Amino acid sequence: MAVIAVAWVVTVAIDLGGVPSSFHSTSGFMMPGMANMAKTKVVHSWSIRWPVASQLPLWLLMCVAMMGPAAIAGMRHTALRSYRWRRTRAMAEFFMAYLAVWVIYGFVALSGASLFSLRSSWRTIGVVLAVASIWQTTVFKRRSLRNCHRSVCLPARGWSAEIGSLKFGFRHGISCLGSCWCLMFVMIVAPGNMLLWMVPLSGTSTVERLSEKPRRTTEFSALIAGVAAICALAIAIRQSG
Amino acid sequence: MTTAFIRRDVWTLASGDQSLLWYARAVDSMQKKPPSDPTSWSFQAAIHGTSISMPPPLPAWNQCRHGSWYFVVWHQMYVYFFERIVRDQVVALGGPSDWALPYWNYNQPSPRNALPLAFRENANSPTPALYVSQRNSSINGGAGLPPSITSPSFALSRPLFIGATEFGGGRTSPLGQFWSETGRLEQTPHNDVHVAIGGWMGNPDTAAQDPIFWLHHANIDRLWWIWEQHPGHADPSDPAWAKQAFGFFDIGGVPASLLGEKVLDIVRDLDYTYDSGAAVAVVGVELREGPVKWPDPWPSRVGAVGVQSAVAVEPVRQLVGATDRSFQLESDPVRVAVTIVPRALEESRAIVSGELQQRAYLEIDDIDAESNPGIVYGVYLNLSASPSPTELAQHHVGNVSLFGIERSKNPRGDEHAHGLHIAMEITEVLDQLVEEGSWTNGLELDVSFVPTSLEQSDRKSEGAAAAPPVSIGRVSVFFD
Repeated sequence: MAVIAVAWVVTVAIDLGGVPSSFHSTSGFMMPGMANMAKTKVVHSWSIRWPVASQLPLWLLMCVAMMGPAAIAGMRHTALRSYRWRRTRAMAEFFMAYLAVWVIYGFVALSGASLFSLRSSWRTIGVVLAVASIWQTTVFKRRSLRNCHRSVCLPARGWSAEIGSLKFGFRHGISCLGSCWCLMFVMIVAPGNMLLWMVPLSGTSTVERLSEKPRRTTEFSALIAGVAAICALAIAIRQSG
Repeated sequence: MTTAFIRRDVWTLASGDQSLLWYARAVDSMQKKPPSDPTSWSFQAAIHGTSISMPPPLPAWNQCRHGSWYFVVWHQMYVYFFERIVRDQVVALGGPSDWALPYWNYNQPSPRNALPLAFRENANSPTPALYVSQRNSSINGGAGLPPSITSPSFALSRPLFIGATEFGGGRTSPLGQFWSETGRLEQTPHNDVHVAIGGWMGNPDTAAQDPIFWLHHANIDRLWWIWEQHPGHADPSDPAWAKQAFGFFDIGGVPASLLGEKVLDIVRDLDYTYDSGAAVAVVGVELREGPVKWPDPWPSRVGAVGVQSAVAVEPVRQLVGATDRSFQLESDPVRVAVTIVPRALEESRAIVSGELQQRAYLEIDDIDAESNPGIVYGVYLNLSASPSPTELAQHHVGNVSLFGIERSKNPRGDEHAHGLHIAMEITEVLDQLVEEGSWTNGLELDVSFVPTSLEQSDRKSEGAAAAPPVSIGRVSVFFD
């Protein structure tokens, strides 16, 4: 919990401090009405300006902040099923393996964004939100979300215990990735204020994870994403017209 | 003198009593109704569970609660409304207006631990509707359920309601059918009897189709009633349990619901009672009165400990030992060694104060199988090579049976798949082992899983010869 809280604090500090974060201070994104403003400039997406590797630390920070809450139950299970003296290590192993999945995904997604020269535009955001909306309604999403709750039997001691914690974290990360990959991809192409995107997306994934009726939550978030996608694409069409 | 409906022991019904005859007639009549009728046999059974996919299950179906602190209260309401519907049917057929559902108290010597005759006979039986072939053939043939399966001792001796090692089961969401917080009553005798009878009773999606299901659950409800009467025992007051409503259907198919807190007095709230007016004495291994020195490195037990009545929630227990690898159960006994780690006990000792209970628990994790093998495995500590019946009884700590494994692995809707998890307290049995000298090495505990045989039958179950293997991820010992 402390690690997640620190991640949020650092994220807020980066966002409010005006530090040119590799994600959102550079964007090729124009608000409606900005087209004729003299000082408007279209800037390439961060994914083009910054090498992928240099973006990974910020990506990792975002993953800790946004995806960390979904890992708490798994860490708790790992702790309670471990001998007292290795609980901290077991939880750390779990969390590291869990985050490793997200780092690998981040590398692939950031590389892809760079490779295809994705610009942070209304059209890009609209397409990504539309895909996210569709994904939220699929059986694959529901299955992944269900698997996020799956706990496994953990060996108690020796190398088996260490490997068991890592495997559990990795497995949990895979399930989480299957559930939330689309929502997190929004962060890669999202423009402007990072927090404006992080808070609702993180809230969505956390509520889905904790909800007793997750299908309703995913359907609701699919609806919101779909509406947002339509709005974004409408703006894109208007701007291009 | 109460005017409430009286549920009576099916094996001690008075000569000439026609309760089962009218039950059979009502069952037959209900079976002729369409499945869409809430008062039909099919609909009532489907409320518990159904494997029917076409036509699509109705919202009221597949609602049973297992592995959860809602287990007893949901099933109490379920049986209550079912009984009312059956009684209404009995009256419509010309039967007595005071008809009540009998219960099967199988924790009795032969022949009362066998399926009642009315449920076994077929061709010339006056109660053919009570017979189903979808049971363990030995059960239909009159084999008895052994005390290791039927005894309520493990359950009735639990001081608390909430908790997987306690009477009623651990806290869970009110949604979802199968969790992993199975209480002692649900495990033994409930799950074990389901598995031993087998056939429809062995699967939650078909169990309620067997007319014996209802007498079995009337007995489970009776055991809850007995537990409640014991001094110091209390049902949950937590609003999450007490204010939780569950919906069913009443006479005429009218939707109805009840709250947990509104069913705690069965006479006042539900207008029924049981023929046994006195609380059954809780039979079980007694706590030792004097100091019991467990072998090193275990801390000394300080003697009889108080009921955990002041502790509403289970304390966090410390892992002190576990098996090193997973293993499988099949049709032969299996023995595994739980290695106790001295450092874990030392650290537990450092945090355990005289106020805590110094109790030990056995947890069996990640119990999995492709399907229910139809075998009840008795769990024993430190058995000798050729244990006598007395030794088996004294070293017995609980059972493992896999009722609901199919649904746990492949849940409906938003429920997440999981293996089964069983937990049991072993403090008293460890005291026993120390006294008789069966436990001298404090660094190890032998845990044996022994398939249980039915009485008067050399067959464990119909499926025993080809039973799918059961895998167990880990056996652990916890201490608090």
